[in-house]
Amino acid sequence: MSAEAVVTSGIATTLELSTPIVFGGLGGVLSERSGVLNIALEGMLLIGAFGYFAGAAATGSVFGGLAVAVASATASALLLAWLAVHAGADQVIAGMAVNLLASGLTDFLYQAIYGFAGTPPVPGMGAVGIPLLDRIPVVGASLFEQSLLTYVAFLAVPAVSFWLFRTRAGLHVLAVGERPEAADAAGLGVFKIRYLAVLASGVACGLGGAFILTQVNSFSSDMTAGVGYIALAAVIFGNWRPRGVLVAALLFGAFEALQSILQSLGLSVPYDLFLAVPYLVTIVAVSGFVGRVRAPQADGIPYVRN
Amino acid sequence: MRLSAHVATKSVTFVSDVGGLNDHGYNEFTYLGVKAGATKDHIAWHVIQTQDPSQYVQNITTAAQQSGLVICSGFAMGDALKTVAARFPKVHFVILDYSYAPPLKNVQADVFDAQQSSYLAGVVAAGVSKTHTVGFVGGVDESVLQEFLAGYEAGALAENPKTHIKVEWTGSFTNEQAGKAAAQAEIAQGADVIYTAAGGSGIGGIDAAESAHVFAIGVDADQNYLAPKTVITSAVKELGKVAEDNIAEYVHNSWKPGTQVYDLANQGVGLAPFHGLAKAVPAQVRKKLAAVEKAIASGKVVVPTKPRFPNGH
Repeated sequence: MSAEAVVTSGIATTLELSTPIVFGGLGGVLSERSGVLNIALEGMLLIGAFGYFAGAAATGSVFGGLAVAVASATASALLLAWLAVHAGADQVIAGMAVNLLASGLTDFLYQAIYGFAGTPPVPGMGAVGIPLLDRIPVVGASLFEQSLLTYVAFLAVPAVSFWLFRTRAGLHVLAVGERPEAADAAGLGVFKIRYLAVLASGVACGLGGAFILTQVNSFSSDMTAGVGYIALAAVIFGNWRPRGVLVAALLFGAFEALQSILQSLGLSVPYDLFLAVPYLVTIVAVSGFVGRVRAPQADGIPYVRN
Repeated sequence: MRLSAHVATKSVTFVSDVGGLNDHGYNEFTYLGVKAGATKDHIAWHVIQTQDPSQYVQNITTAAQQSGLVICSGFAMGDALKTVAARFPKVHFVILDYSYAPPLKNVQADVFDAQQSSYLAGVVAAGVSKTHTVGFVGGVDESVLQEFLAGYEAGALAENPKTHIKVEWTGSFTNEQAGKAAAQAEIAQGADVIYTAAGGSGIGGIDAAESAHVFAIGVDADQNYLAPKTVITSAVKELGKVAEDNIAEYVHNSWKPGTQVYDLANQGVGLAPFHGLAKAVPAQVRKKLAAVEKAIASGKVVVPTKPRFPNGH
């Protein structure tokens, strides 16, 4: 009831809502920095969520859930990579194909495997407190009492950032995404690097999907409900940089948490307008009003070796 | 063209709405009723699942081509059904939670007085709340769902006029995380009973209640099995009964078009049992529930359909 409880809960909710956007956004950055446009984040997250559910239900363990989540989302990323890199398909269409496939396939498998007897309870991942830090007043219980996957997501941001901009392998990814012909001439395997980058986005989406599922421990049809598209918006708003993705994810998560709080305070807020915030700020970002965002030069263009 | 195919052998086709056939709600329990009714009355049954609202017209058309009775789940399909029904005047159509003015000649519109069962849910919520604060998590803020809120707040305030009511709309029937966030915001402000009327999104609300060790009230079907120590009751619609009634009438040639109301009086809506949580409901609350149920059924108490406090109280 107290203001403190509202703030604590608001911060915790912000982090919970941001986590899948961070995972999806990092996946998007890795893939697009290599030159493969990734519209398929939504579908890969959904497959990751179902994968966790199926894996955890079958093995009875969190580890089994995570393993299947990552494996299945990576498999769907392999399909995208094959279409986009190998077959040279239009990457928007290839991405939408993966999304539609994910929606239909998870529905089908969910019904075929679990029927109507109610879903089996699956082991979830409770909040893990970080000793001492979680005792800080107000922010401690919200910042440092989170799912393990939330810590992983937020620590992955500097790690991916460092890897992408400061290591040889990361710079190879950037080269392939900007000037594939030059990279090829310099002896880099453009196809191989793009494949690996897209597969890495599958791993990130597998973890993000697992997080979404462990938030509620039950699967339902299309449960990702557009978070993959918000992650895509975070990639663009974040200027294809991991730190930018983090800022965007926190901003989008905070807006959604804020509208919840405003509603529960009894204020008449246009909640649908709040839910459109990620898309509105992305439109502002790409329109060039505030600063400039620039996509990798070869983003979305299949590489054809002459 | 086999225009008369369905005249020779009777069959029923169920067209589900988005959200999957096993959604723990609308689709699932209508589907189970269709299956049970068709089996009981010995006719063939089919299911067409909708993945996306853009498929409504096509799916209902396919259903009308293969069956003499077509049951459509959910108010979102109202306009699409109107279009298709005009093209197939000999087919019998059923829609749940939607009605037409004037009524269509070959459509039975089955509506539920959800405000009545929501009123009972409100009595339970205010009756078990220790903080005198109860929460409501709705899907999309439109008239069909406002009835739930209207009944809930009326019931809660009738049980205890000092009750505070927190109201949240998630904007979705599939986004479980949004339902969870909404319930969390209400719980942070002291709500210790959360009534969810938001399909799959509401299931996230039940999960938030379970994590916070407060009560939840399910919707549409008895959702106690989702969280047996949390879901104290559910405001149910007898979706299966509606499907079975329609099939029986169709088979025995007594099916009629028009609007049919399912309410407390004909047991088309009601409260699910308390299951293992009966001890949490004080005896005087249970007594009051029985009395209120009678008063509503007999028309002595008329439950409002428009919320008095759309933003909470």
